[in-house]
Amino acid sequence: MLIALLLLAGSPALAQHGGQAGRPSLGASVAFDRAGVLWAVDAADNRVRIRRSGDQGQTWSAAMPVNAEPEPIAADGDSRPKIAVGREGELYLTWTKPLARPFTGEIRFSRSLDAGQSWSAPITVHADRQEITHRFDALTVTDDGTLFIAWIDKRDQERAKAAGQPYRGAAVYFAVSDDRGASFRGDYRMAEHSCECCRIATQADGNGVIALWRHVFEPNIRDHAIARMNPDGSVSPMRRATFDQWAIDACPHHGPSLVKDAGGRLHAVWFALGPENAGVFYGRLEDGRVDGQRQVGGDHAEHADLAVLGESVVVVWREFDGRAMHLKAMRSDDGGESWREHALAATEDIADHPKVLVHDGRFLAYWNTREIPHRVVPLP
Amino acid sequence: MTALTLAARRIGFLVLASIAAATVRAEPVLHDFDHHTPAALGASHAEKPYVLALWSVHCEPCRSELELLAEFTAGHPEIAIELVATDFLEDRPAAKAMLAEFELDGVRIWAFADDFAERIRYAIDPRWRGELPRLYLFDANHQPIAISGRVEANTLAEWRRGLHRPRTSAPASAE
Repeated sequence: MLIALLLLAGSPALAQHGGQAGRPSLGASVAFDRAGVLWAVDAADNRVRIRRSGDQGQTWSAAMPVNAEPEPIAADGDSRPKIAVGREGELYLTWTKPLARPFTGEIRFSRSLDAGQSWSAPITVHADRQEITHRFDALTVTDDGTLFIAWIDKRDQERAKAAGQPYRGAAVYFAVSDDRGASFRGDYRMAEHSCECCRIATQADGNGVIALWRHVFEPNIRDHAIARMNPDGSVSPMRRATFDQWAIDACPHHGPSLVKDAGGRLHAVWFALGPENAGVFYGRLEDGRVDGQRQVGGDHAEHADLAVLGESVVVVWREFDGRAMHLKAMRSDDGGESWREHALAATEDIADHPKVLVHDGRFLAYWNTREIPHRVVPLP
Repeated sequence: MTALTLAARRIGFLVLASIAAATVRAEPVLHDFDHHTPAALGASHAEKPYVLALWSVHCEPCRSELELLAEFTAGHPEIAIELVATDFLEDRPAAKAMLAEFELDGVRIWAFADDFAERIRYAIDPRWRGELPRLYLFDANHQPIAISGRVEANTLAEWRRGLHRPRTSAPASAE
């Protein structure tokens, strides 16, 4: 018994997934439901946890565990549990469950049809069960209630490797559910040669979903690509979306965000260290070019998110100054032409990537920090 | 439970613990790297060139970086290499397992010891945005060349050759 305990204590798998020591996982996501309740999802002690706020994040309920059986959950950096709300108030969650080998994982899904009272046993959404990369889940519900889940997938890379062929980056795959998450069909391939370790930005678009991700254009240009996932599993042709010419063989761990305005224009924020453009950027993605591209914040700005309401666009990001991590925002009320910057909050401790939400005609920034968990700050 | 059995258990534990210690001795020792460490490294390598290499178990291109550094240190053991995993405590076993795949004798091995990674990053280089792998080649004056992403072996070899040039020599055209 003693021997077994000692051996277990030295086992990488246990230590890696136990999470008893080290950094708390601050990776969290939020969404409003149709009744105006704000839901936040995060992970701790091998459980996905959900909590609710009836006052727009000023106070929160106790956290409720989602998965009855504990399992490893990625909740840090560009990996975090996701939440989306269906037409009838269904709550949908996805997360990445890391497996024993490095860079491997499965995309997991659970739902609640009773406003968070109970949760379905988690299922793996992809048919492929190899111990390879299925990570960086992105969850989206269309207006007609169809669920799309996209993720970074390395089956094509593994196949190439087995055949002794080189392979650029990874791939993006997706699955679709027409029955509110009771079942998924898919393992549809959206694109080959994505970057390996950045979040995928998604935006519902009619009966499909537009995705924006960091790609690896030949030979090693890590700019962004965009495509539309259709409910039948087909994909509108992929096209290049950003043009910063960032040539690098590295893991930026720094994915984009995407939002569509009422006129159908796509607004995005992304990160690039190109020869001329280095930093976080905002721009409107047009066919073959970016309109109104401008730098977001200073040289230390990172992990931006954005939201749109009418002609108003708000970008939030975080920025470290050597001492404190700042939550900052910039707001445009003319569709992204002119901007005002705002300092919203700061902490001298660790902080998650910020998100910005729209609710009831207002913009709200959400920031999970160790100092003030699940903090919500209204935009001026 | 008698005192005797307790003592026996304690001895048994000590024996097992020492067996466990013996089996982990071959593993690399990870030194704690915090936001004070970069300045301390500079001081400890005063007037000497050194390499500061950052990697992570969550970074796939970093694997080839480790391979490259293993080759480089075999050929140039006189150049100090400080190899830093940007991973946190929970990933240390995985970091050790990955390091064990490479011959890194003589390389000093570190791992981030403070969960405020941005503060450590800033202390290393305010211009570094966290992309990995990240390599700093410091000459004897500690003027760094910073490289993001996978590095070619000849980049390191050229840098090493350049270190031999006298600093006060004629312009490059003389070569």
